[in-house]
Amino acid sequence: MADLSAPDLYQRLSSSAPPRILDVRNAEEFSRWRVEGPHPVDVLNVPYFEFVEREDASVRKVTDWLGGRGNLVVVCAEGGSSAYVAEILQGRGLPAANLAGGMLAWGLGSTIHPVASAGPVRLWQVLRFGRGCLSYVVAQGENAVVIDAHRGLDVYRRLLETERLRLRAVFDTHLQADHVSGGPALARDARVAYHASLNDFAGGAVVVEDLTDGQPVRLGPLEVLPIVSLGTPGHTPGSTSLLVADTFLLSGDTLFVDDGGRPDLGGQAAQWARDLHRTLHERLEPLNDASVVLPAHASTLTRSVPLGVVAGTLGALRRENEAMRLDLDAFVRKAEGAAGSAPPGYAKIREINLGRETAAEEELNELELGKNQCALSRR
Amino acid sequence: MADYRTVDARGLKCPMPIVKAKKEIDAIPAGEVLRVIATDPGSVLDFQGWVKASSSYELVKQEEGQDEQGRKTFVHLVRKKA
Repeated sequence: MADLSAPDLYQRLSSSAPPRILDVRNAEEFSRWRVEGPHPVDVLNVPYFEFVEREDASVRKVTDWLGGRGNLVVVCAEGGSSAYVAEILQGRGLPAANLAGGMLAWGLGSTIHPVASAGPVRLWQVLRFGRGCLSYVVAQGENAVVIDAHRGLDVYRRLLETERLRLRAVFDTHLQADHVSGGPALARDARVAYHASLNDFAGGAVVVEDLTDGQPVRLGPLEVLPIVSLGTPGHTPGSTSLLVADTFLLSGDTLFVDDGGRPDLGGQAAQWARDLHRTLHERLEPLNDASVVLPAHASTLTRSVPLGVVAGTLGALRRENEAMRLDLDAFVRKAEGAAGSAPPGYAKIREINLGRETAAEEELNELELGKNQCALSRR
Repeated sequence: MADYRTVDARGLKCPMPIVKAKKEIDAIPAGEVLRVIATDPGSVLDFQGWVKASSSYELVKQEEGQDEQGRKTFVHLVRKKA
């Protein structure tokens, strides 16, 4: 059976008959991070060295678990051990496919989901499914901008080419700490400006066009994009949301569908939590309930709405999202209670995104390993 | 050191260091120690898991080093139990 690419596996996990996953990494790696999809994933962990040591017993473990039902995809760290196990299983007549490139490829893969394709402003959500990172492409006519790009730039370039769009500007809603931004490189290659808030990027070595609160974004004196920037501090001091076509609120890590952003990653949990609370209540107050919130992270993929888009109306979030319901004191207490456990790679990733440090591909993969931890309640 | 049967698994990714180690350890007498030199950092946890999955071996030692080409190495000493 042929190898499966990471996006192919994600598509299959989104279907009504998702495959089952046999993860052959060691138990420690498995417990840290695993394949997830829009539906609960049925997964079994049998490390590959158990197949090396006791092939018959390990195969029996798998066949007992399968019970003759469903198809199977074997997963490991980089694709080598899973290919080895898939071959053993195929030799015994089991329909086992291999995830090519393993969790490394899973962490880098993306799928594209149209959010708005009919009106004058078109919008796509790009889901980096393995890490729960969301980024966006917005187009008006043939002009396009990319927001919160991750470093796998091919997905954006392919979309721009397929839709015959010209990249005119690149944005980051904030200084990311959980993943390396692709924004500066994307902007440099296309010779367009990289827009972000100097409240996050001052002192960095990246050339940044400052986002001015409340102003529509301009490409030139006469060219105004249908995007208004809103200063929404709290997750970081420079966190900025982008209101697209008066309808779509690209909220960065300020507000997620199920949660609020973490205000504790800068070591000033109480102060930033107060800022974030003010943002969620006073700053977003003028926006109407029909506004569609499109965040930069998905804390869980099982809540993505039909079509696979991770989104919620502001009205629904005001009713159901705890971060929007807590009063100031409770909100600050919760943030302080959760404070202090930023993953070890985050400081270095910040320095890389500020352009003050660099890292080779292998180190980037190691730094980004695992799911994002940007939401208030997720640890 | 020189007495140990040695598997050179440098430059190999998983599953090969353990596949090769398994083949060699099956061939040595009980009580002897097999030395495996790997460059894959993932081999550290995997060798710990492998000896746990079997009642026939024990991990004597794991240590980091550097080979003559300057590569970081992970050396695993596995004893075949008597």
